[in-house]
Amino acid sequence: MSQRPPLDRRQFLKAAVGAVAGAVGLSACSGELAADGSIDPAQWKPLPTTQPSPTPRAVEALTPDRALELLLEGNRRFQASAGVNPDQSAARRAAVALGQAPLAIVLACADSRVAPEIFFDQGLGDLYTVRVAGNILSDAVLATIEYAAERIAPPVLLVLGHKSCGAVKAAFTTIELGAHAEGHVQSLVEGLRPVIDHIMATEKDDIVDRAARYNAEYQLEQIRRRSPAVNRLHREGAIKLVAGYYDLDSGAVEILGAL
Amino acid sequence: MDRRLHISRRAALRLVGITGLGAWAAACRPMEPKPANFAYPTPTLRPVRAVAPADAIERLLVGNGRYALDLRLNPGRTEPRRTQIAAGQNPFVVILTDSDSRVTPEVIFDQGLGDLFVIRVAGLVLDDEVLGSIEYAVEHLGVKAIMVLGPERSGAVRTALAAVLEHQPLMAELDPLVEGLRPAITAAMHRSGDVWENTINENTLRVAERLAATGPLLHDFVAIGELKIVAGRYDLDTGLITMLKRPVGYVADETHEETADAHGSEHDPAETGHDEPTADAQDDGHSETGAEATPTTDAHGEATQVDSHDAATPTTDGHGAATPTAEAHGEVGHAEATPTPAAPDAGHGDLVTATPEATH
Repeated sequence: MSQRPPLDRRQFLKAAVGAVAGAVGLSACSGELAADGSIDPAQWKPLPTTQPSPTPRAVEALTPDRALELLLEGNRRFQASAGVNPDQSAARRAAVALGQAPLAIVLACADSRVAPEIFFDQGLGDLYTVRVAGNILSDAVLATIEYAAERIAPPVLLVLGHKSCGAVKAAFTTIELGAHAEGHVQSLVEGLRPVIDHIMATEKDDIVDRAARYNAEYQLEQIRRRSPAVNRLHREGAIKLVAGYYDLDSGAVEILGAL
Repeated sequence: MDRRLHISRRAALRLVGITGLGAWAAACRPMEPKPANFAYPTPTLRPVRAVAPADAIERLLVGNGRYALDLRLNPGRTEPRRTQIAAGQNPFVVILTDSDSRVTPEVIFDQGLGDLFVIRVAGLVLDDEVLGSIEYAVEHLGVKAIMVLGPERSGAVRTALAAVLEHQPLMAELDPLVEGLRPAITAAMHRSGDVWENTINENTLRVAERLAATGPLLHDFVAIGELKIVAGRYDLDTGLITMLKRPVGYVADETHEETADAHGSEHDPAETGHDEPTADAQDDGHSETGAEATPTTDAHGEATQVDSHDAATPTTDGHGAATPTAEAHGEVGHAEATPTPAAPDAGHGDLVTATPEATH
């Protein structure tokens, strides 16, 4: 194959950024660089699957309860409009450039108002966030969560529904009318159908928000059933499975239940 | 290689300049710092109508520049913004990116609540629900721009690479990830350079191209100029977004992909036990589509496939491929079938896109 030029662009950039970011950046950047450049299929050597994060907070063993508490603390700061926007600087970027050790896997809606990093007041490398409309468990989402649970194993898995969810509303309208949504949107309707059917059978009013709450619990249960890695971590007590509900108006995250 | 060295230096120097500028700008800020929780207002007024495609991309890149230089405004994170958008969302762009915890779109584009409609799955795998989410944003929310963003050093892509190249066994639940990335791996594995990096960039471009071709909704909106789909690469070290484009003269070669897929499935059972039934079924599907052109998928069938390529590209010498072992034959065939761009360096010097160079 080809030989690497003596001055590799990436290394040069790293050095430049590291110099600006300071000692933290340089010490974090200098280590494994040669190992990850120019990988040849013949000489492919996988790195250790769990890369230790250089950040002190992630290195200390966080219990699931403590990790959840950190998230809720951040949410209280956000509610009070007193967020500190932590872990978003160039120094943090350099610190997590070679590995991640997030606090939690978060499955949330693609809705632009439901940005977990903002309403939990977290930053780079803190939340492994999976987002799809209606926070439903599609095959790609299941693969993502399985990957994260197996290779990264954060202490918390949080499934978040939210108020005034457009996907739930669209699914409810489509199902109530017996209609068929256009294009691939129908697959969102199908993903939410068990939830909508259940809520329509038991509730009369406020169906969209009640369905969004029930949907979070339902999808969490589906993840526990279908993801072997999550199931194993859960049995070992290494992960806490939590369903939550985000209120767009107050900014509060309500814990609906934990498995 | 000399050329590449020059490009590297130029890009590096440019970035040093930018970084120095950032340090200078930071030094020029008032001595009295704002409180840590100070929230600036959203930089631009929210228009009632949707943001035009080019403006949306520009706004993203400007925000990314603020973030990369550590000059973030952290807009739209406080109570006034929350009440402003509680009744309905009006995002200006759809971001499809990896779930990686270091690739938070709201942070790396310095945007706030209600600005970005964000879909995040490992490896940017497109399934029906992901497509449905994107179509929902385009159809119901009137979003006119989509950025597909592939982060450098994606762990999910590495896992898929290990599964495909080393036949490392994985749980069946990870099949959508591996199968979603397989075409990009197949296309990138014979290019020179870093396989990991090439696969990520190839996959990002492919996802963007597939979105633009997904009918009827997205394809139609792109066709009438109401929707722009771009691909980007996020650099974990500098924090900068680089736009990805195909080299000038690049022609997507479907036949080559089919050959490569048939090649992969042919060697799967021969190596270690790759025994997920769904994966095999998928591979069989690929082989059959390949078999439309060639009735068999054995070494002979591949030779026919490669020959048809040689007929299309008269400059390559098809007769050099007549080597005794089937495996070596396949390798040579691939190298020759790789499309070579007509003008690989025309104005694309600083793109990170791997130019599909044949490896001999």
